[in-house]
Amino acid sequence: MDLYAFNKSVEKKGEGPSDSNLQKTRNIISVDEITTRIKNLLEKELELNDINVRGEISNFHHHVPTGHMYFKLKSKDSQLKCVSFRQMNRTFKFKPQDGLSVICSGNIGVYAGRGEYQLYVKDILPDGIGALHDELERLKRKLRELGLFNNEHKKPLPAYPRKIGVITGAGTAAFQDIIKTLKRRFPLVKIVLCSAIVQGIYAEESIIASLQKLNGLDDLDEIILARGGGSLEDLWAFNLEKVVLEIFNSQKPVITGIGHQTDLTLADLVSDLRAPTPTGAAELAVPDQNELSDRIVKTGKNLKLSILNMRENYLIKLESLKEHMSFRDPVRILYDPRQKLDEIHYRLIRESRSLLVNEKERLNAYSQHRLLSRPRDSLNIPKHRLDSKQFELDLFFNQGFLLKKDLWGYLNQALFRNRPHTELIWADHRLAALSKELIRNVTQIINDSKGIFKENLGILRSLSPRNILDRGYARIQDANGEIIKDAFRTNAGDIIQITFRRSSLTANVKTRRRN
Amino acid sequence: MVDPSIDEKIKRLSFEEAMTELERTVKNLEEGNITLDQSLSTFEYGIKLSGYLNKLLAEAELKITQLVNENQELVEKTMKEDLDTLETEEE
Repeated sequence: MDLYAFNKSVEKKGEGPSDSNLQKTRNIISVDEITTRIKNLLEKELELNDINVRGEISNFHHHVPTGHMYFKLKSKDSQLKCVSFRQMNRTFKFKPQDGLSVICSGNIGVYAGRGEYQLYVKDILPDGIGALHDELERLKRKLRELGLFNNEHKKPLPAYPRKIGVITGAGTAAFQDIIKTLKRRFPLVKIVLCSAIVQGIYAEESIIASLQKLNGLDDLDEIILARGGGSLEDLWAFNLEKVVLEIFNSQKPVITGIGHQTDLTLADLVSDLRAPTPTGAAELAVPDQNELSDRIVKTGKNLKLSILNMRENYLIKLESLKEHMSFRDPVRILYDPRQKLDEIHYRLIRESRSLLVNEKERLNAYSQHRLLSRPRDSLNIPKHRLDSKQFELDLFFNQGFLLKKDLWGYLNQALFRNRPHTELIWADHRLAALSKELIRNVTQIINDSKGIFKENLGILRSLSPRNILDRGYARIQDANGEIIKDAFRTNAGDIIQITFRRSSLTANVKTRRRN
Repeated sequence: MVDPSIDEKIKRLSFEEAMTELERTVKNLEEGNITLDQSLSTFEYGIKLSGYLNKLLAEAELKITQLVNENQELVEKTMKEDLDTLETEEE
């Protein structure tokens, strides 16, 4: 009203609309002056002090270096500039965000530097509980459609974690609850505490920073993110998109325990495991040492039981086999194979002996042949071969004895080890097969020896002096019957004997020459 | 025959590893696919494992470390276990 009156008074004073008149007649004031007057007018207006303004937040900006917040409140046809300084917004329960319907309380004032009037916000509240709920539902829908809550993204939790990171307010009841629970349940675990601001405008950055810090620890197995109960605004940080995304991107599994039973935040939805409370989160994070102890004791008992069972089973098996023995005559099972073995052995000895005797006789006959008297050396090799064959043969049927002995031993052992009947039959088959093989082998060796003998006879024949005479050579001996190999061993006039294939003659040495 | 170094080996196992070993050992014995000799040493091994696990649990003390950010570097500070001392400053 003052301003209006002031303007009226100026107009009354004016005489005519000319520039010079204007300068003379009207009071001219500076921008500073007018702004100051407007500022005074507005800020003194009681109806503009301590007002609550309803609107939707837009263009929200939190100037981090100073901590001040700037935004606009919009309603259908108009908008109001708002500013909230650090000293004021520190106590905000949640961080304002675009699109949220809120009620801002504060004073209207003028910022002279820009010639703007604005609302200096002292507090901000959601416009009824519905406003936050609407925002929560909107974001929930969006993130669900993106698949962030899907089960396939849930990371498995270690059964026996060694190191757990705990993110919660320092010195809070939630923190105490978690420590107590972990200590009670699984004191083996190491705890890395990373305290965070869990409500208010700095909660978002703080929770995100804590998650990032703990993800930087290589040996950490899982993270508990917890906060005690509170209103929807108190828990609002756990519904912020950036926080939810950070949990989603965490390399370590995250267990949430936020608020009370009924509170369900988006952080809970995206976490790998959700507990209703901080204590619940600690319980889910580790196994219970009492249950583990019980399990270890029970496992020890099972161990003992298993070994006793095993012993029992062996004993039962042994007993049943003993009984099995008692009403059977196991020796009878050996009758047939025993007889068969004897037969084979007898035949083996008989046939090999007679064969060897024959061969020996024939060999002797040849070696005593008069034609063999000189080239005996050449006979040594085949004779030696034959001897070794004979030795092999002897060895072989000695081994046959041993083999038989072994088989006997084996069968007896088998019996004493209480083999069932079927195994004896099997042994019988095996014995028969071995016997056949034995005969086959011996026959083979005998045949081989025959072949070698024939071969040797051929060699002997080819070396026989008679053959040489057949080819037209003659044998020359001196009067004593010594073979003459050098003409100079005789003297002129000596009598020499020349033997051909079918005849011989006596001659005198006439002359001797070197060839 | 139990290898004398078996105790040393067990001592190096983490709780989880020892637990897994114990469960495997019991399974081995229960299935009975081992000889009597083997079963005895397996049994002894299992008993040692369960003793070790019980000892771990009985002797465990909660260790708490606080993570603080000093000059942008992560520093782990060990805290006393006493819950009353776990008061820390808030920003």
